[in-house]
Amino acid sequence: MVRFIIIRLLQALITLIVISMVVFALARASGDPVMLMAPPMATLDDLQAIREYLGLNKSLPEQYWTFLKNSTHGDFGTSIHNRQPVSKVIGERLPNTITLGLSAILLGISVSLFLGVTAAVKYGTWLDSGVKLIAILGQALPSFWLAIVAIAIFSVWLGWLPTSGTGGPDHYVLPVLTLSFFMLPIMTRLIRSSMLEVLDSEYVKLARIKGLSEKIVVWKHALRNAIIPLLTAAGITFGTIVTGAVVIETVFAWPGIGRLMAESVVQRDFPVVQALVLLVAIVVLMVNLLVDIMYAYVDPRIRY
Amino acid sequence: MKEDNFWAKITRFWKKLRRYPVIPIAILFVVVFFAIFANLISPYSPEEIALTERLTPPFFMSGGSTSHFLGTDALGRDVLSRIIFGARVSLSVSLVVIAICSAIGTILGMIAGYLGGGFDNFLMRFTDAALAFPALLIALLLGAVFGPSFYTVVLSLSVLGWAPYARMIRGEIIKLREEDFVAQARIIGSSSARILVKHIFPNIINTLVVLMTMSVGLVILIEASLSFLGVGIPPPTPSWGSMVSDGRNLFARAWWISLFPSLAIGFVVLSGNLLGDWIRDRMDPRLRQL
Amino acid sequence: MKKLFLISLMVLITVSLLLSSCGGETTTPATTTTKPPTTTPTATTPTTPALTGTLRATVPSWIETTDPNLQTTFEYALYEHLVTIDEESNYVGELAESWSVSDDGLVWTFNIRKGIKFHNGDAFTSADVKFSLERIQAEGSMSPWKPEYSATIDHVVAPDDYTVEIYCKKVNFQFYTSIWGCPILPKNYIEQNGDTYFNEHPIGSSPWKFVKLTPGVSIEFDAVPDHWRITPQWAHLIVELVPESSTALAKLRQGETDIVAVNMDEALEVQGEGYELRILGRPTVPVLCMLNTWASTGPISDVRVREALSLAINRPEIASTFFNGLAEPGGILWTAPTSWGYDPAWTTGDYFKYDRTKAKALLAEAGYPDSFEDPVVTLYSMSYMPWLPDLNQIISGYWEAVGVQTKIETIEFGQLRGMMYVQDPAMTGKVAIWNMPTSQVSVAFLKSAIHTTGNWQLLHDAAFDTLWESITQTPDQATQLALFQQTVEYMLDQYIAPGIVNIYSYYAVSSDIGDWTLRFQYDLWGGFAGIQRK
Repeated sequence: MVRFIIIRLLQALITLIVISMVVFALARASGDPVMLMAPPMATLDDLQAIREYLGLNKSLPEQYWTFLKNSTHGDFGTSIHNRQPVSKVIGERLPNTITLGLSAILLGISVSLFLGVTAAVKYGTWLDSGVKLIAILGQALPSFWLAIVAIAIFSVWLGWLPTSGTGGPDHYVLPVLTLSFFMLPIMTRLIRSSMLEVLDSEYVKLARIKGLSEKIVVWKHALRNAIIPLLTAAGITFGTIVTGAVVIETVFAWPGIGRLMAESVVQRDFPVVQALVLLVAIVVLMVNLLVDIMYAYVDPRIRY
Repeated sequence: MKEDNFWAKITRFWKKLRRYPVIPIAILFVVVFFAIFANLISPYSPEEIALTERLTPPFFMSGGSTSHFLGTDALGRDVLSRIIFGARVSLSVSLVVIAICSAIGTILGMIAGYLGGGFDNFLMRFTDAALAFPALLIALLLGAVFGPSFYTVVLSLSVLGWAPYARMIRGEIIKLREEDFVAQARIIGSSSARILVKHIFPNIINTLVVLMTMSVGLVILIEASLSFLGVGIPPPTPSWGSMVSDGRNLFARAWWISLFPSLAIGFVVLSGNLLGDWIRDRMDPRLRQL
Repeated sequence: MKKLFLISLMVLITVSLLLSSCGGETTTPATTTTKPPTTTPTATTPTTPALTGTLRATVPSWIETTDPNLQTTFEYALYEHLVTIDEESNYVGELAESWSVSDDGLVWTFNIRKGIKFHNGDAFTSADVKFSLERIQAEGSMSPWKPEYSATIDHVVAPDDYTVEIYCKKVNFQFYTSIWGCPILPKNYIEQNGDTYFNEHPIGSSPWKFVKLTPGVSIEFDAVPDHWRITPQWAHLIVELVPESSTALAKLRQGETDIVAVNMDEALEVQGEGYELRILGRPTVPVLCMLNTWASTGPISDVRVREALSLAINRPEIASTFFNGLAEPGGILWTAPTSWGYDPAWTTGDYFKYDRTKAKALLAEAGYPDSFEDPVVTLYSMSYMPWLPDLNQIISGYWEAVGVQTKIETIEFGQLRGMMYVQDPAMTGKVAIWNMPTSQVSVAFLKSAIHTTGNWQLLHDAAFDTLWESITQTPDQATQLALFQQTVEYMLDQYIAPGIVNIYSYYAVSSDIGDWTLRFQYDLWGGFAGIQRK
C-alpha cells in the first residue's frame, strides 16, 4: 500500500510538471499582456522597457525555469495585473470558492442520494421517471441563464434573498443551489444505477431473508455498497464544480477563484493563470489518489 | 361503452408509445430536420438586420405580429430564423466534438485496455492529466490564442473531452479482454488488431452509443457557457448558446430572445438523455453506471 | 454506513485543509486593515451638519490597485491634481492656484494652493508635486502619461514650499493640459512606508478617505469633513464590483445599491420602472479606425472610398433605434461636444451625412461602380463591450448595401493594438471599430493616433504633422485654438476614423439620489463627491 501511494505520488508529480509546461506555453501563446496594459501613447521602445521590467523579454525556457524554481518553494511570482504576490491574490479568493464549492457538493450529494435511492427503490414507477426528469432538468438549461432567472425571481420579484455578493448565510442560497443543480444529474444517475445493481445482489437478498426491515436493508446495507461508484466520480465532480464556479461566480459577483481564472486569462496575467491551473490540478489529482486509497479501504477485494 | 373503448384505445396507445421514446426521437428528428433544411424552412435570413423592427415581441403578445412568430432580437433579426439556423450550428458543434472525442477516446482506450502494462499506465496518466485540467480555463486560453471561431470552439471542447471516453472504454475492454470469445480468437491465431476491431469493438458499441447520445446536449450547454465568457461562436453566426448569452441582459424587457433558444437547448438535452437512458436499458442493462 | 460517512467527512476535511493551506498563510493581511498612521485631524469648527448615510454604487470592472502608476481605477476618488477643467472645458487650477510659462516655452511655473492637507494630516507642498511628477516616470510605471512626461520633462525644481518649476526638453505650449494627468501623491508618506504599504493604504487629498479594498468585492471610503474643494453629502461611499450587468440591475431593483451604469436598452427598461437616469461626463465615441490608409494600393487608400463608407452609414437610424435615442449622430476621434475647441458645425455639417446615392457615386468615381471585393473589408470588433459586435453587424449591413464586401471578426483589444503597432501593408482594408473615450483636450491624443511618430498607423501625412506641431509651438491661446480646429477638420476631411454616434454614459439611480454636480471634470470616481441627496 505504501509503495502504491509513493508510486502514485511520483506519477502525479510528473503529471503536474507536464500540466505546468502546457499551461505555461499556452498562456504565453495567448497574447502579450504588455499590449493590454501599456499606456495608449507608448512607443515600441516603451513597450520593450515594460517587457524587460516584467521579465517577459527573456527566452521561454528561461522564464519557465524561473517559474519552476520559485514555485517549488511556494513562490508563484507576482501578478502582472496589480503587482501583488500571486499567493496573496489567490489566497484572498480561495476560501470563498471552497465554502461555495463544498456547500454545493454536500447539498448535491444529499439530494442526489435521496433522489437516486428513491428512484432505485421505486424502479419503473412514475416516481422513478419523475426523479429521472428532475435530474436531467438540472443540466437542461445554461447555468448562467438559470442563475440570472433565479435572481430575477427569488431576489427581485419575491424579495426573499439577496441578489449577489458575499455576506450572511442567505447569500449562499442561490449560488449553492444553482451550482449543485448542475451536478445533480450525474450523481443521481450514478446512485440510482449502482443502487439497482446492489438491490439485486445476493447480499441484499440475504439481508431481506434475515427479516431486516426494508428501511434498514435499503439505507444501511445496500447504500453502503452503492456509494462506491460515487467515489470514483468525486474527482470528476470536482472538475465540474470548478467549471461551474467560473460562470456562477461571475453572475453572483462572488469573489472566488473561478472568476479570478476567467479574469486573469482575459488580462493575460500569466503567473495567476499558471498558479490556478496547478492548484486545481493538484486538488483533482489528490482527490483521485485519496479515492483510490479509500477504495481499497472500503472494498477489501481491491488490492494494489 | 363506446367511450370506454375510446379511452381504452388511447390508454393502450399511450402504453405502447411509452415503450418507445417517441417524444425524444420526434424532438431530435425535428431539430435535425431544421438543421439540414434551415435555408428552406427559415422565414428570414438569420443575419438580416432590421433596426426599425428591433425587440418585436412574439406573435401572441400585444405588439407582436405573425411576421415574426417568436419576435426579434436587439438588431431586429428574426428569433425563429435564428433558432432554426442555430440548430445547424449548435448541432454541428456538438456532433463534430462528439465524433472527435469518441474516436480518439475509443482508440486510445481500446489500445490501452487491450495491451495493458506500461503503455496502459502511460496513457492513463495522460488521461489523468487531461481530467485534472480545469476544462473551461483551457477553453478560455485557446479562445485567446486562436480567436473565437467555430473551429476554436470545437478544438477547446475536444482537446480534453476525449479523456472520459478513453477511461470508460478502457474499463470495458479490460472486462472483455478476459472473455472466452477473445481467448478463442487468440487461439485460432487472429492478430491483436483483428481481435480488437472484429471481436471486441462490436461489444462496446452500445456503451459508446449511449455515451454519445447523452453528450449531445451537454456539448451544446458547454458551448453556451463559452459564449457567456466571450469565447463561443462569434457573431453574426447564430448558435443557441450565443443567442441565450446575447439576450440575457434583456431578459426583463425582451425575454423571448433568450428564453426560446434556451428551451431549444433544454429539449435537446432532455431528449438526448431520455433516448440514451432508453437505449441503455434496452440494449445493455450492464451499462448502468453511465 | 457510519464508517463510510466518516470516510467521506475525512475526504472533505483533507481537501479543504489542502486547499486552505495553499493560500492560508497569505490571507491574514487582507483581514487586518490597519488604518494608515494618522495624526490627529486638524480641529475645525463644524460648519456643515454631521455627515450621515452611505452612498452605494456598482461598477462592472476595475483594476485592483490604488497606485496611479499601475493605472488604478480609483484615481479620481482618491487623489487631486494640479489642474482641472470646468464645465466649459477651460483649464483651471485645482491644487495649483495659477501657472505661467516662460517666453521660450521651456519653463512652466506652478503656484500651488496653501493650507491643503493629505488624509493623514500632512501638509501638501511643492515637494509632493515634484515627487509625483518624477514617480510617474519611474521604471515599471504604467501611467498613461509616462511616455508624454518622459519625452517632455527635463527636470522639476521646487524652489520653495508653494512653487514648482518644470524645465522641459522641448517646447510645448499645450503642456499644462498634460499636467492634468498627474495625481498628486504624499511624498513623505510613501517614502516612509514604501510603495507596497502605500498601495494597500493609500492616502491623497481628495474628498474621500480610503477605508478598505476587499479584493473582488468592494472598495470603501469615508467622506473628508470640510474638504477645501467639495465636501460629499454622504458619510460613506461603498462601491461594489458586479461584473454581470443583469445582476447589477437586480441589485438596484432590490434596493441593494443606489447607482448602476446602464446601456441604452437597460436605460429604457429601468426608466419604465420609474428609476431616474443621470448622465456623467463626456460621451464615448465608436469610431471606425481605417488602418493603413497611407498605403498606396487598394480602395481604402482612396479618400473618396473612405468618404463613401462614411456616407453609407445611416447614423440617425442607428441613434434612434439601436441606441433608443440616447445617443446622438456624430462622433469625432477623442473630441466630444464639451471638448476644448469643439465646433458644433462639424456635426451638423456634411461629415456625418447619410447619402447612399452619393456614396455609390463616389465609389463609381473612384473606379468601383458595382462593388469591390479586393480587399474584403474586415470589420474588427473587440469582445469587451457586448454591443460593439452588434454595431459592427449594423455597419456591415450598410456597407454591403453600397456594394462593399465585408467580413466581421471578433478579436481582443491586445491583439488589435499589437496589429496597429506594426506597419504592415497587409493591414489595408482592416477597419477596427473602437469605442473611444473623449477628452477635454485631444491634442496629445490625436498625436498618437495620426502623427507619423504615433503608433496607430491611421495616417502618415506630413501635412498633418506640420499642422499638429504648429499647435504646440504657438504661445498664443487663440491661435492654438484655431490651429487645433484646423487639425481636426483636416482629419475629418481625410475620413480616416469616422465616428458613428456620441454615446453618453447613463446611470440608473435609486430614489435617494439627487442631482449630480461634477459631471464633466472626472469619471464616475471623481463624480461621487458631487452626488447630491434628494
